[in-house]
Amino acid sequence: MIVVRNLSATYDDHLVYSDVSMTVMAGEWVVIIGPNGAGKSTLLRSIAGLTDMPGSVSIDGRSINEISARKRAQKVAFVPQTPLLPPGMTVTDYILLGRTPYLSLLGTETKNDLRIASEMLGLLAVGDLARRDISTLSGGEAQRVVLARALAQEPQILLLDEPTSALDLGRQQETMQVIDDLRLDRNLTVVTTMHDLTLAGQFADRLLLLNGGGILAEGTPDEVLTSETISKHYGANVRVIRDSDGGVIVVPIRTQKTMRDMNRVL
Amino acid sequence: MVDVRPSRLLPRWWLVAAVVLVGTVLGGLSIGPVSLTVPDIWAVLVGHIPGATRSETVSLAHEAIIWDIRFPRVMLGVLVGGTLAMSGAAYQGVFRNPLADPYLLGVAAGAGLGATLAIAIGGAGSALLPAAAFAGAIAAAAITYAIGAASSRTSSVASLILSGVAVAAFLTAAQTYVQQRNSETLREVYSWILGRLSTAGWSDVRSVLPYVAIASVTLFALRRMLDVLALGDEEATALGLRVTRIRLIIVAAATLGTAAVVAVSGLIGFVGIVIPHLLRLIFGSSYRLLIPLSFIGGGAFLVAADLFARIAIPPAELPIGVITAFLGAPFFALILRSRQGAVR
Repeated sequence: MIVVRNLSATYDDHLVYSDVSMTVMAGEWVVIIGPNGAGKSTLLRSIAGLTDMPGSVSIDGRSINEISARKRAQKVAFVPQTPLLPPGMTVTDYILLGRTPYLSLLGTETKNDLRIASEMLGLLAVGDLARRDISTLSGGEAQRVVLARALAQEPQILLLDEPTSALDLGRQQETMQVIDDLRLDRNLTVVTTMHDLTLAGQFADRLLLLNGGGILAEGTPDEVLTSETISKHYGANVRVIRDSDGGVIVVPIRTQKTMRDMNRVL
Repeated sequence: MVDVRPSRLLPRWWLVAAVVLVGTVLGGLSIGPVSLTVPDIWAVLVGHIPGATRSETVSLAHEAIIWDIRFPRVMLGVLVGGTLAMSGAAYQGVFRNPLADPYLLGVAAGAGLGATLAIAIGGAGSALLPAAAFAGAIAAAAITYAIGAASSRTSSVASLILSGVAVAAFLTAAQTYVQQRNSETLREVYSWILGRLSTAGWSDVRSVLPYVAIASVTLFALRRMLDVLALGDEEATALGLRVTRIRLIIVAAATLGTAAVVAVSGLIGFVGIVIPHLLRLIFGSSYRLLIPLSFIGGGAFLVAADLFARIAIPPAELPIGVITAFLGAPFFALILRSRQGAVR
């Protein structure tokens, strides 16, 4: 369980958000949504313990500041929006870097580390890529390999910043499904940020809308994804369709035909 | 289950590396104005094992050439070339910058100023020179680090590189000023700047060995951490690394080794940047391989370059810094062209 209390963030002396509190239950998938600049990525990085902003984050009752960096990395895996994929590094070597929190400073991988890396290659169906140079992979392949590296940390909590932003429609669905399967399989707690509201609504247990310095809406996709909320906070014109099987579909619609119309509205 | 093997050097590549290094060392020992055979060299080396008796088959003159002149020079070549290439690889890793070289943090300019001051004050052949160059190099790197680490506005990597540029520019200006005020020692200063192994004796080898040992052991031990740092500071932190501390340890080790070898050999360029890249093109970018291979490759390359410097225009000797670039650049261009697309 992740408990966040009174987190604040500033960027260049400008307040991004303040007093953000939230709780994520074990095994839950929470998606943080919100317009550009609302601080979604910063919030995620704070939960990962990568910023030194005011506020507290605790995992299973222990403050992340009290846990050593290595112990924290054994519990929490973080994947940035565009991970660096060093040219010339093989997929195997990259995934093995996920074992770093379990190695001593001067140590090298044991048989057990190799076994876990092998398991992740299989789990994410990237075994064929094992010897490939990581910088030559396609977007979908790279995303799976990065997930395999994060899972090689054997975390309880997976924090993903915009996991689908660089992918085509099919790879987006595939990636989200893979994450969901892994979550149910390994009882992972997942927190992601996302722009695609429909996709977020299809997979999240709960949505948090971050904007204007705080969390302005929180609840199931059905509760949060209303056309009023979205048009208010995103400045977008959308139609929200309730699917017959319970899904929520957010479709952007065009009302103004020209920029001049838009200016008139504004 | 997928067969998982991390990048490790296959035994046959270790063998190739060992053969190349031993081959160039033997070449360096046997080729010269006086040609010496491998059995002679072997006899002399074995004769210097403590407890062994001197072989009677080699003349005293030949023994002196091998043991007192060529052997220290070749050993110094291995240590200098190896340290420069290994430190270059470490700098490139820690700064995630392919253009980083062992002189990045102002080490060359600091050593240059120290050496020029020593020559200006102590005259040509000053015994102060290595100590002054070493002190200048360490001081320059320390100043660069202090400035770079203090400015947190930009990324720490970029600000370190930029502060290195500023420190190097300042120290180079100071060095040029001192040099112009003492123009009678210009020749001596240039001879140091262009790099040289020609004056090497056992005392030089002894003076660099402890620093080279500290640098090599540290960088070899942390080679896997360099792979983690390649993911960027944020991800390395998320993987449990204390990034700032590890970067400081690696930079300190590489700088210490570089400063020590620069103090005795002068500014030998090119080795620290080209040897690691050459090895990257062949073996990929894992620092587990690059750190040890760079040492072996850099050492062999510098011994070969020194051999060429000695025999190219007898009886004169070319400055070794000229040779490393003159031979190294076309060779590197050739490899770069032929391997492009095959390995990135």
